Amino acid sequence: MTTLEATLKERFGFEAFRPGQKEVIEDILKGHDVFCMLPTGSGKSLCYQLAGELLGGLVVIVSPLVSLMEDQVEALRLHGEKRAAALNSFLGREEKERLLRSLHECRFLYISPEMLQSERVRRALKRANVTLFVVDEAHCVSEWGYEFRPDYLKLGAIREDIGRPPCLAMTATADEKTRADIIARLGIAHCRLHLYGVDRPNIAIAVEKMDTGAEKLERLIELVTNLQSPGIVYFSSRKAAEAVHAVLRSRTKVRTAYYHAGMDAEERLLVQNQFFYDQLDVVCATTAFGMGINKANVRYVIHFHYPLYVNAYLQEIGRAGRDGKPSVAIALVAKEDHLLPERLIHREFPEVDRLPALIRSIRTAGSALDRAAAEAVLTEAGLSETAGRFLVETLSALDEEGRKPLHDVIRRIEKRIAERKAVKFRELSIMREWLETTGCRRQAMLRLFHEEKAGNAGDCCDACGLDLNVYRKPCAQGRETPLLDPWQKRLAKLFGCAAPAR
Amino acid sequence: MTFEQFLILSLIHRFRGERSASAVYHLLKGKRTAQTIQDGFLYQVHVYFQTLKSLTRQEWQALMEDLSRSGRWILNDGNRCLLTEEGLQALEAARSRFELPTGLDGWFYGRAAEKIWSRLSLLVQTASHLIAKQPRFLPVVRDDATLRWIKGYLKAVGRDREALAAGLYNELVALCSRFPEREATLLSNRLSGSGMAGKTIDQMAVLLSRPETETLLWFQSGLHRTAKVLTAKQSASSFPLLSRLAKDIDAGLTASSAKTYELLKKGLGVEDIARLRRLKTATVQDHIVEIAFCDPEFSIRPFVNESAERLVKQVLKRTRTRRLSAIKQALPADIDYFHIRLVLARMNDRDDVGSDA
Ligand SMILES: [Zn+2]
Repeated sequence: MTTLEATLKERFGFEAFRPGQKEVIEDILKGHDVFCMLPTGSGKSLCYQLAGELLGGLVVIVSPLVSLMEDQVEALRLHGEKRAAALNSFLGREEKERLLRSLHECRFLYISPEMLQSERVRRALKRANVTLFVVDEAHCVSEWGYEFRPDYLKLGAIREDIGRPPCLAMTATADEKTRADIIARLGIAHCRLHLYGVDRPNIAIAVEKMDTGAEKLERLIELVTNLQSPGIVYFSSRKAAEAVHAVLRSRTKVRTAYYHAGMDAEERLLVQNQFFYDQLDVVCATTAFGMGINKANVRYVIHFHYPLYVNAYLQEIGRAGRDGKPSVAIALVAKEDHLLPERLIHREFPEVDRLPALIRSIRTAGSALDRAAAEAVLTEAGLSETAGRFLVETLSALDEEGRKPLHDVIRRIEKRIAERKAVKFRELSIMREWLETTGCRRQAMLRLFHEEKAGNAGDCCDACGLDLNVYRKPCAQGRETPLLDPWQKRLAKLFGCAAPAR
Repeated sequence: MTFEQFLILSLIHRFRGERSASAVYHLLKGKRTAQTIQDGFLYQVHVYFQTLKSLTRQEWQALMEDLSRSGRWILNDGNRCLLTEEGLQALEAARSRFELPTGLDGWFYGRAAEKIWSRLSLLVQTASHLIAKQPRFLPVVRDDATLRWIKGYLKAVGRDREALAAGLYNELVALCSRFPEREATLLSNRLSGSGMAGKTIDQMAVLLSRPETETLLWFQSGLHRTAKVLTAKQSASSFPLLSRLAKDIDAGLTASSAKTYELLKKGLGVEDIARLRRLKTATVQDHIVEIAFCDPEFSIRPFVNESAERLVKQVLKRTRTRRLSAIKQALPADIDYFHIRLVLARMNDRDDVGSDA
């Protein structure tokens, strides 16, 4: 099929498909429902983007994160596809209306699951010619997964409602049990399965253990100074990301910045773009960073705090080495780090004894309060964003079953919290077990997904023997500290000095 | 003392112990309520309106706890907040370490500045990529309305890329040379162009060895000046390209006040408007006060004559209190609350309102 390759070259500028892409696209074009598991960084989104170009009509992509949606829309625009748009609750009313009225001019519509609950939106989609219904991050459908989102449960019914277009469910990582769950929930029993391994052989894996946080910091400074940049260092708190960034800035010559969801949108974009343009060596970030960053040459990912779940770990290290060149993932673990994860999990949920007050605070305004506003009220009350979203989602799911007395609602939510926490603690213990493996780390990781290691391509892991010198910069000479340009010079640079003075 | 503490102490000091601490919080966050804005003008702090928009409740509480604890700088009983003797001394001592910018005008220009900045940064980035012949880039602004707006702008301007870049360059040089050096440096270095992403506030603060929040305020000061220059009626002649960025930015009036404003512009008086719209005269007066508070170009002269304005300003200068009823009592009977509120909306730092320094 040469047309596929031609389109790939013409629209995306690639010479060849990566493993899996072509097969998935072919099945989509034949009109099958498709379940596809492709590892992070293997070009999942290209599958529906290219298929969409050939299918025509409107491709609807359900995506759980606003930032993720925006990044995808940006990526498409960068490739010259102007008919891409994102519909989420952060859009103003007017913008929303304008977008819904002009759906026929749109080729790719990214949409959050909560927007799909709106009758108005579904009516518009029914009228539009939806040729493909994509569920991105499909593992959110499964209650087995740590990223479960109640909103995702309704996606199967919603697809029926908008005329049952073919469905493409995509995820980077899902074990057997989760896969079966996803397929059942989405109602795609006859789908074509495309499963590709989670392994990324060009990323070497290491876990380094130390006694104290101070030792860890020293080791990080050493690594960041010597490793070939660019790199990402992940933290589990915003504060820690900022603090360690400040240490790196004062004690090394690497160009560093921090990144987390608490910064305003413009500052986040500036850091992303600086990283993209190689103006930074390292970004100290929370997991908010990297989701849609299409930077191929990231050489290392260091975890200053280990992630809570194996899936998250795979996603994060997967941001290294997308160009296929040797890269390294290093997790630094100090004893005191083990105190953090439990606290973080508890923070993802509202405290049970505050439930009555919290529920009242978002219900006093009646149904007038939309979800974004309700979440804002909850964060103002001191809840984490995740906890706020959990409560709003769970409440609205319960409300849909019909009004119930408050004590009943509270009892149901309490039960829900207990179940979700149990899932997360189970996932956390798997992550911890993996950190304690003494054998080959890659092997142990792959076994969690019922896969086997295929041969040995280059460095594998610290247990198999790993020479970090391979990942050093050629010469560790210091870089000049950047200065602020005087404004005259900066303006001249921005306009390429081409401007003749009048 | 941190810069944030310095800023909050300065503002508490300005409120003279007559307002609660949350008045400072609402001012910095930019809560658009009648109370916040009237306080802003009464105590001449409206220029700080919305200057720390991203301050969270938690951060604020932590700051207040620090201030009450460390050295007992403030007394806070929930209703009123004032500086202790120690706090006053600490504040005076800190004045040599920190520097507040002089161009802030948050109430009048904060909103416009935000919009103008997102348009300007996208326009500069676009022009920079166009002359580098790189039509594909990651825009620094991702909101659809602005992206569409710039598209329309480029069409309307209709210059080729060289002429556009040259024109923008010249106008930006002219604009920046009117500003203090530090503000011009911050504005220009935050702009992005081909192959170069702008710097964040934090990065610029480090490179200038100044506190982050101080740097943020200086940057905003530059933005507010920009908005002031570009929204002025006569700006089109000196800034033909940039002044267009300030077009169609509304004054942020409520719908009803906007309607009153339309009728005023047609030459109708207060009574006419009240009759026509079947409103009370007092309601129309409220609208006019709102207009005066929102649109710096709006003249209050048809409603307050010069001598009345002078009298009100004198009393405001003389009396220490900022309670409206006390101010009214010190004035002739024919000057009412409507007049006082209108004059307030036209006060600025230069009028030196009863400062106790
Ligand atoms: Zn190994």
